[in-house]
Amino acid sequence: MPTIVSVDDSTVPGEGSSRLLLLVSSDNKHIVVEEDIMSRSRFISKQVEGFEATSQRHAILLPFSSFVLNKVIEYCSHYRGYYLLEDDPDAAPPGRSPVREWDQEFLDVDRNMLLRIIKAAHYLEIKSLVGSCARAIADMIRGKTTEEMREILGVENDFTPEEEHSPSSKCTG
Amino acid sequence: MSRLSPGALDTALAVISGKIGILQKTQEQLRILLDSNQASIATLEAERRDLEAQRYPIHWLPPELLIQIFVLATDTYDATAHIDITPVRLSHVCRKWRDISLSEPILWRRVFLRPDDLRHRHVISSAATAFVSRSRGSAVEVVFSGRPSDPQTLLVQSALLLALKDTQGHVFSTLPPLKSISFQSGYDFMVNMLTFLRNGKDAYPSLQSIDLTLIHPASAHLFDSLRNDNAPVFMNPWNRQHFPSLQEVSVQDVALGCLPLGQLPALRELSLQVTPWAPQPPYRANFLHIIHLARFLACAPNLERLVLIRGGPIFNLQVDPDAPAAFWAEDRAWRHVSHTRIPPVPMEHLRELEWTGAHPDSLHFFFTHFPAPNLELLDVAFVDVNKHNAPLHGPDPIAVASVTADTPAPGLLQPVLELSRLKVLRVECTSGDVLRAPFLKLCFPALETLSIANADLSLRWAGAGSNAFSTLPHLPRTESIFRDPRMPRLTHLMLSAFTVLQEHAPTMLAYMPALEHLECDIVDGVSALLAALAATRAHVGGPKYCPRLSRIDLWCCEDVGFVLLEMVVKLRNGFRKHAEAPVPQPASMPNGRVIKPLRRTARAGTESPLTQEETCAKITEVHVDGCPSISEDDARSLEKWGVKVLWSPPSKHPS
Repeated sequence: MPTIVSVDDSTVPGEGSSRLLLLVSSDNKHIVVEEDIMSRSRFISKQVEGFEATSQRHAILLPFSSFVLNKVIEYCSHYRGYYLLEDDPDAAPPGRSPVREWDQEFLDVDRNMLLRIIKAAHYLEIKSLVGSCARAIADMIRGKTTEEMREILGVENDFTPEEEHSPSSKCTG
Repeated sequence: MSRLSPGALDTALAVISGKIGILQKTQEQLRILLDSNQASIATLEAERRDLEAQRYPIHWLPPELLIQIFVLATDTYDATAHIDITPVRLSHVCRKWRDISLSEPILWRRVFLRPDDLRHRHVISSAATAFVSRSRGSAVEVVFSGRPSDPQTLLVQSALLLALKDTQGHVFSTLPPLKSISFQSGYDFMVNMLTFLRNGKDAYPSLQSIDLTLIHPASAHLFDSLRNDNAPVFMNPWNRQHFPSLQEVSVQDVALGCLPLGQLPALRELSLQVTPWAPQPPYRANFLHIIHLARFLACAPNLERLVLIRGGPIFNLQVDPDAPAAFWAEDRAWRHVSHTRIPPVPMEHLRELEWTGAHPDSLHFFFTHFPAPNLELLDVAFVDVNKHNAPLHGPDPIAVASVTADTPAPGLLQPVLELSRLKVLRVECTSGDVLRAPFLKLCFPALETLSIANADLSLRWAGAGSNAFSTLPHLPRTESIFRDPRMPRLTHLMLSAFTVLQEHAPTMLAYMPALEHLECDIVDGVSALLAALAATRAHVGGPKYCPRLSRIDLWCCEDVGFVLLEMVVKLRNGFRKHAEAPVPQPASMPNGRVIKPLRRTARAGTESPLTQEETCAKITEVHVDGCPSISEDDARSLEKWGVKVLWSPPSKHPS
């Protein structure tokens, strides 16, 4: 992991009270963000705990692009200081994630971007964002036919004709 | 062909056998090679599929995320369909989705039953069987929708009910544990299901939700069938704990007296809806008898939300604070309707009460019978007992009669009740007079949001430009509506479809010193409100009323002029000297005679609690929608005073 990195000035946030973290995206962009903002991520929190155990702070490499990472940071910045039940590791998981109006606008993006965000949120263990993304995707396919689902989410029908007409796969009553 | 010697024959045979053996060995090797080849092809094909799948971002998601999405996608369903189609469709999208969906029992939790499933015990449709199989024993949600049967073959005979007490023979007993029951049916099937719930010897530990809708006009039969059956099997022992997880009950046209009782410690929400057409008097009086609601609520001490949609009780029994609390424990005793007094049922955890079709006098009775000290939201729509209401073809006779029996004896004063935690009060009615009664014996010292709306929809359809404004009912004086008109914590006021009289406006606003947001929807008299808001305090300057006001919303208000609105904004945003403030014109009688304001001493509560040192809030947001007297240019001109403006033109066809 790189310990000495160059930081793009445009990604440095304003002065804050918490320590800074260096996140490195898959396209090798270095993004500095306040630790406090990313504390919603269980993955980042565990990484930071590891730093404290070794008294060394490293950059955190992440397997998604800076474009996606910036969206996740935007989400975390918006909810900085907010308590969201889904992100509380000590709380019992809620039955279903609440619908948040801001999230709906935030996730009004194209399909591929939405899928990238949910994957990144899953990797970073931000359950509230995973829940909101999952709800947004579910809303896209709810009430749709099989063919419409394939079209909306870009899924290829890989059934053979025999499989497609197999009675074992049917349940139409 | 010459005969071979035995030795030569043996040799020839041995050679042939050797050749066959070699060929067989070769064949075996080829078979192994072929199998290996096939396996390699299968592996490569799978690899190719995986790689090709990478072209589609949806395949990047791990199975646990797809399951989460699938579960959310099955949130809603069509109760009238014959199966829950969404999981079926999900399993038909592609191989991966099929494998995931078939391996996830929760997707198949919703089992749709049909009338035949209930008629023929132990036999359910193949589709329902498939769902039960795929749910793999996890708790299921039963959905039943069945049209009423032929009235000649109704299953309401007591003998049949008794036969059903053998619940082990019921189709429900063949299902995995029940998580929820959604039942929409005629009363034959409803009796069937209710009898199962009432007679079950075992508890329903997983049952969280019951949603029952009776679709038969003669629902009174259901009530009589179950209520009047005194067989012990239909009794509901007070201490029965058969529904430890039940959180939500919603019933439509099913009397609470029919429901299985016993302790409901987890119940948080109860919705009781009665359609206007069923059942009809005289059954309806029994149907909504307060004793059934009171008994039910006594079993549900942790209820947080109560919804009564034309389902308010008939207050035909008086409350007796000295009655023993054990009154409800004896099942045979409380069913006798000869009681005249019943104990109150405290609702310590009730936070929200939504009540549609309430008699104006019944609100006080309700809180007398069901004290709710922690109520935070009260949403009530009153029937106008003196006015014909089109959808109901006249005042609801039950609502009218609902309070007569509990009218206190002459000379007996009703106590004043304080709802000390109430923050939100939303009121709907169809005339101003209705508002004069319900709140005079109630106090709301912590009120933060108040909405008073005239629910006469004909006004909205009439739209701007019609003479609808001339028919708007007058909003009574605040003192005539509330026992204590002072609202020191009120921040949000919404008025809809009323006329605010000029002489009432300043007083009303004076009672609301903390008001931040004023919303007027089809209100006549907005000018009077704005004039009051533009008034300044003598010798001190600054706004006289509502100094914290920061947002004004005007919807379809015809009489409002831009000049007054601009004055309010300029005064509060520091762009106008108080000397310019308009002096509110005194009210005048139709004959031109001027009404002089009475001289009186300052009344407690009418003065703003803000000190003179406190700075006045600025108006930061103005919404103007459908107000013909305010043009877009005028509205936008407020932006130069630092106001965010949203403007919409009047609609030709308002909804």
